Amino acid sequence: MAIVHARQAVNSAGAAPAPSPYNVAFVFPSEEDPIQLRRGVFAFFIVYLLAVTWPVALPFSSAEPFVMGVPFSLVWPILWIILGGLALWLLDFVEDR
Amino acid sequence: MERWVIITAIIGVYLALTLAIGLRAGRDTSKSVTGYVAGDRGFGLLVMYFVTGASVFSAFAFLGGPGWAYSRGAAAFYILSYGVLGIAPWYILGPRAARLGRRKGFVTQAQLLVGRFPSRGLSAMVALLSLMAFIPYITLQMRGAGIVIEAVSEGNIPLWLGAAVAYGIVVLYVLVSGVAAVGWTNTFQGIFMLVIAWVLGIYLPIKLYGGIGPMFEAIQIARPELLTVPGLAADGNPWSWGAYSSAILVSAIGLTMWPHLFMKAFTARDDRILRRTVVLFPTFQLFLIPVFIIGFAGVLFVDELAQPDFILPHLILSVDLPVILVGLFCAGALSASMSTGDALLHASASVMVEDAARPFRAMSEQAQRAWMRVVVVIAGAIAYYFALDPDQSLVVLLLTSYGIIAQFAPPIVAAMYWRRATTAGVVAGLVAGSLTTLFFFLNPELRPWEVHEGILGLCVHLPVLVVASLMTPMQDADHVAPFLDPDLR
Repeated sequence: MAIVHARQAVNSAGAAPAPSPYNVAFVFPSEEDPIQLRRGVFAFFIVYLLAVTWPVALPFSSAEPFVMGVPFSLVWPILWIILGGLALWLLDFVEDR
Repeated sequence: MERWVIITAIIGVYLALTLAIGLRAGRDTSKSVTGYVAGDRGFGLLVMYFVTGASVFSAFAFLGGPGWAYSRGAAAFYILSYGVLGIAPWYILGPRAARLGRRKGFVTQAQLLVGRFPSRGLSAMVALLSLMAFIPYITLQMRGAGIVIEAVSEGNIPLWLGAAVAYGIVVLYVLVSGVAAVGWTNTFQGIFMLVIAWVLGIYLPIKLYGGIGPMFEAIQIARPELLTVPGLAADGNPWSWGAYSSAILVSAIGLTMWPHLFMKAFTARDDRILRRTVVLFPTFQLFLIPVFIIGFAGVLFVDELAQPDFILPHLILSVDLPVILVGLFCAGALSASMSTGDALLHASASVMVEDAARPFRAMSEQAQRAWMRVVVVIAGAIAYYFALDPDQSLVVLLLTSYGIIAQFAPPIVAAMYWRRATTAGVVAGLVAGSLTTLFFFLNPELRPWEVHEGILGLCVHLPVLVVASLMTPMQDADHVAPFLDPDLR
């Protein structure tokens, strides 16, 4: 919704929104397009939610294969924590520049 | 000298140190309500990091987590799955709420809501619902403290006395120093318990099984059902995917909406600190991994415990550790309990006085602080009463709280992002959602696919909020504009 309001603010000021050079949701964006990045990170967290809940989590729910001695059913949520952390770090890194 | 006496003495030293830090913390804050509730809005990154982390690393994680891993296996993995999902929206919501707080002087979540949707009834309703969610959560922390002390003292200090002593100290430093005590004790306790968790999580599997890999291989052979998601239900039968998935969803929504998290947003010095706190939060989630490993270490080593939440202290006392280490480990578990409990007690008092009483009766700053102290004692006493019930699982208590708190999500999002939302719509949605949650909480057998009652509440809440808002007159544009200001981004 914040994205929508930011867009509305630009439109109401009479300026056309700058065309985005990106056609897909999750690419490394430039500083000029932080909205695109927020949208990409939002999409990522939707995928994260789907990945750890039914039915997407079904194929990743068993103990095997073991990864460095740890059951895959435990590795799967750990993997998403790391990916989630990286996504937040990327967002902060780009927005902080 | 008997072993339990030395361990109890070490815990006594730890409690005294915590009390000293808590009492010292309040010296530099002002005597105003903003000083007591929001620490004069002066928290830096280190303190914010541990204050936020304490919401994850509670007695629920330190004792309930291993308890679930031990008795219900992979069901506990839902706890790992929801944390980052829950904190991510805070990257956007937190700074936005904090800026609104600075502009309009809000120090609680309900003040933000009522600022947009003026209604004293709404304020009181949010305060009461918050208290209904806080009490089980504080109960959980107190029970955790009592469990640790009873176990390490070999029953010489019963649960009721251990919980009373630990929380007597918490109440004392919250009474004196307010949120400043919460911040600095959380920092001390946070560092302490993280070290303890990793040391134990690595040491116990090596000691009992020869390593983490051999431990999981042994469990896979003997109890394979424990390593397959969604694990087991409390009765030992397989848990359903509906319950597992909805536990993740309701906990993620609930984590974002905890009133004390909002109150801590109002304590941050600036937005950068809030965003950095969110970015660093996943590191706290990773600290949960050794906690689960501790629980799994007990699967083949400990015969069925009547109360699985006792598994951590039980294991510590079973393996041959030097007595000083046992004392420190137990102090780590106490840290987890107290660092969350103090924040919740403080939040309960702030919410009840600021949101339930003050809208109805004018109070001086001095009177507000005095009443907050009274409520700290009352909330502590109520939670203590429930903490003595032996039939309550720590994790079940927490899930109950999340069902209530999740109902705050639609009004909060509507307050900051939806122009068309109205006071009538928000009140109607909150009433409908809360009653639905309560209905399914009391009639769990009626829940479809065992979906969490909080999610079912939201399924009713959202359409009621939207329809009732659209059916009632729009709010004045000048009133709404500051809440939807794009500069708040």
